[in-house]
Amino acid sequence: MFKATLTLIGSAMIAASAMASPEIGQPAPDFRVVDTQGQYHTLSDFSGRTVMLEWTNHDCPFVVKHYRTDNMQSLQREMTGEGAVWLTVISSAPGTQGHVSPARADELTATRNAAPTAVLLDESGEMGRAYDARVTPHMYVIDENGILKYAGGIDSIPSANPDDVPRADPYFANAARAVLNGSDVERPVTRPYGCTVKYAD
Amino acid sequence: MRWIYISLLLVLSAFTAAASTAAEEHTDRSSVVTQPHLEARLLSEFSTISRGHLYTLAVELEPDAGWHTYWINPGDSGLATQIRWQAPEGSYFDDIQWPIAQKFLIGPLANYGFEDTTYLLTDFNIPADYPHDQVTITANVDWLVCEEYCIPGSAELSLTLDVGMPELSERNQPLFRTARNRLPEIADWPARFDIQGRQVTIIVESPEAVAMAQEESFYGFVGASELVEHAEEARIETTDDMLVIRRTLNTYHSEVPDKFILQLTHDNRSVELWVRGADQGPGAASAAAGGMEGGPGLALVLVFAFLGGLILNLMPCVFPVLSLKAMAIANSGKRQLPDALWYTAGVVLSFLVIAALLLALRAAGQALGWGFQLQNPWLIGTLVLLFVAIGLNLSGVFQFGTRLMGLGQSQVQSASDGSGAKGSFATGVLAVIIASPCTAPFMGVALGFAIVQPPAIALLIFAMLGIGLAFPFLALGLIPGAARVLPKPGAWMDGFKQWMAIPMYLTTVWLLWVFGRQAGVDSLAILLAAVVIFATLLWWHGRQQLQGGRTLGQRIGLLMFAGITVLLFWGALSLQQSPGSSSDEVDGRSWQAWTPERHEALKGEQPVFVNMTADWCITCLANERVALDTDATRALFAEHDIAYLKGDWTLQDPAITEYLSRYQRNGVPLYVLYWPGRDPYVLPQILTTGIVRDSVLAHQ
Repeated sequence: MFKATLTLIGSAMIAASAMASPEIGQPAPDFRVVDTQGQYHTLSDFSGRTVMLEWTNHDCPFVVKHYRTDNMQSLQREMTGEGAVWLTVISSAPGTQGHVSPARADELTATRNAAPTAVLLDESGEMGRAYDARVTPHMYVIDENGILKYAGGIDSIPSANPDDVPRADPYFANAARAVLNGSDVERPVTRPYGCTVKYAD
Repeated sequence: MRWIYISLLLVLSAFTAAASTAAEEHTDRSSVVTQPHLEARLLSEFSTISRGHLYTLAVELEPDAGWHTYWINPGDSGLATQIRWQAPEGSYFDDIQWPIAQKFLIGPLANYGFEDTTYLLTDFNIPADYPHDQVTITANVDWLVCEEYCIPGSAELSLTLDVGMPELSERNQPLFRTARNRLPEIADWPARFDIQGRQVTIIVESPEAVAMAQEESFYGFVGASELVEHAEEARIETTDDMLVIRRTLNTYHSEVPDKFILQLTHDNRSVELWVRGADQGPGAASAAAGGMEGGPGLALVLVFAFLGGLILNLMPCVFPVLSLKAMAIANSGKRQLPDALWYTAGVVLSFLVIAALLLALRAAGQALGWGFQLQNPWLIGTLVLLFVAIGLNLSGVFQFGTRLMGLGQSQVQSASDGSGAKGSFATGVLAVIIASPCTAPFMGVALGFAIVQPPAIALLIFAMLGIGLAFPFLALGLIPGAARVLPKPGAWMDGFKQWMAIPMYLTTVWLLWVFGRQAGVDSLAILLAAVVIFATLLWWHGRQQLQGGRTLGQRIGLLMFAGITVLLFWGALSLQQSPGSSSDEVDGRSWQAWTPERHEALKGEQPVFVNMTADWCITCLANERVALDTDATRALFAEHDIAYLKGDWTLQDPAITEYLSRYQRNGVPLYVLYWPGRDPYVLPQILTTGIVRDSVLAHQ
């Protein structure tokens, strides 16, 4: 009996560890992460507002593709213009590609003419792992009630070629607009493509 | 002197120029393109190729040490290398033949790709009517090369080949040999997958795959992006001839592929095969059913039903009776058409009655398919006696009275006198009855399809089957000259008839076998005794027919024999082993079919294990093979006297649908353990013998 219970708990845990990743339609994982100004943010701070998450690594060619074409910046402007919160998250561990100091992060925002609400420095990778963020760019949309509505790639063409941006189906933008309009997201999960997030091991 | 020097220089430079143009015009290697951390070039196996035949090209990628490019499924990040080909119009380029992949773990994530020098082979041809004697082929290659971080790269690689008598490129040979050594073997082992909850189950039906999985270094590379969690380990289970790979569904899974490639590898062997989606779920089945309602699909099915009916005439259980009847009708002269029409009516109506019965029973929740009549031992027993009677009649042991169904010689009379209509109709009915043992095995699948159609269409299909069966008679009746094709009756007919008894006896043997499987060997023995007594009855009856009358004593004797036959028959059926314990031993299976009634009956008395499954459910199949149909579980069930009921939802049985909904499920598999006096316990959707055992032990 005892052994049986153990086995059942064991198999439940295997299932649970696979489920640790965020699920569409469920509350998004909370987080507490410092931004480049030294200010801490939590998901609950933004309740009542739609939240967009963007995982980034400025040296990743896939990220470069969307910044060089101004695709990412115009999405940031569009979404924040609609009242949404846009958090750019850097989960690169110190010493890995994409890891930056707060000052460097602000400089990147300025030089690239980017418009996020804040840039979060998730050095420990805790927030990244909670969201099961795998690549840069990896995109999420959370509605005003804290429910996860979209997780996946920025668009439909997995490439580092800037020419593909206008050709691609903009999965993330479609989802973000749908959530802002209060309508259903047609494709809530898509293939995230890009560079691996450089987590601390 | 100076002019000599200049002219020498000119000659020399002319030479170099000529050499370099020649090299550009014809080369089996492109120049090397160097990009950050990777060098690329294009190679041809042949320096001269012929038109219209397949040759092989290789894109050679040489990354720096520690850097890698990606497989067709790059894993959690990265990009598969892509090649776009430029060649004369009409050329053909096959897909990349991917080498054996490697797995790279990067923190919590995993990638699949290739380190060191990598050859991507591609087969191609140029059109058969290609007019020139040289051809230039260009590969535009895009790759992502990664170590800790990634750099996208691309190269345009061109080579020019001569066209003519094919000639191998000597210097490229060793490289192509190396390239082919790194390719997996291609296997055609049947493999399927399905997704249940957060679980992807892949089964490979091959003892060789099972043998490979025993190796320490075994790994299965799934060639579909975002299908499985790449970093998580697979759970591998095996039976004698089936490899089961269970993987967690990828968090970012969004599309189910129709098929994908699977590389099974260990240190000494690598095999690549296709894995296909399970055939169809219930949704697909009903979609197909909906699609059948219109035009060509239905017409085609009706044509097949007609042909199927036509073929039934040749079945060993039908042909002897009908061939004799046909000759009788053909030779009776005047009344051919009405007879044929009555006969057709008998056949079609009988089919419709059986079909309507079947549909009504299914609507009432019975899990029945065509051939359901053969699931009933009473009916089989009756058919055994009927076939024995027909066989003995054909052997000439006795004659049917004219009042009976009008078989054998009496047909001639019945066809020409007033009772012809009734006789022909009855023959039609009889034809369907004696055809039914043959229909079950031969037409089961097609009719199984008919059953899931809307009732009107199902009835139409059955009616068409009937028309097909009756068609030879209709043709005899409608085409005036047709009868003349048949041989003239004569003494030979008697011999023919007696030969025709043999298929009837063989059909009897088959029916007895079916009966034995259902009712057990004891019942079978008693039924055989009934057959002997019944045969004796008919033989004695035949002798009296020859004597032209019978005494009262003989009548009483006949009645006694009939009585004994009935008693034995009844005894055989009442003694049949209860399906519970016995049928297991007889047919070697450890389960019984689930029906609501059987489930209710057993539930109070003993523990019951219910397994809801379907043929198209790969997860179900895998669970049965690795956890349920195992000696350990059979022993466990026997030890605890657990009845194992299996419900088959392949054709969407409504009773099972309702059962599933009671457990908030809309699909299979579902496993429930009932222990008397305890709440039902639902087992996980993924089973192992350990989980089954622990569930049982926890609930006893």
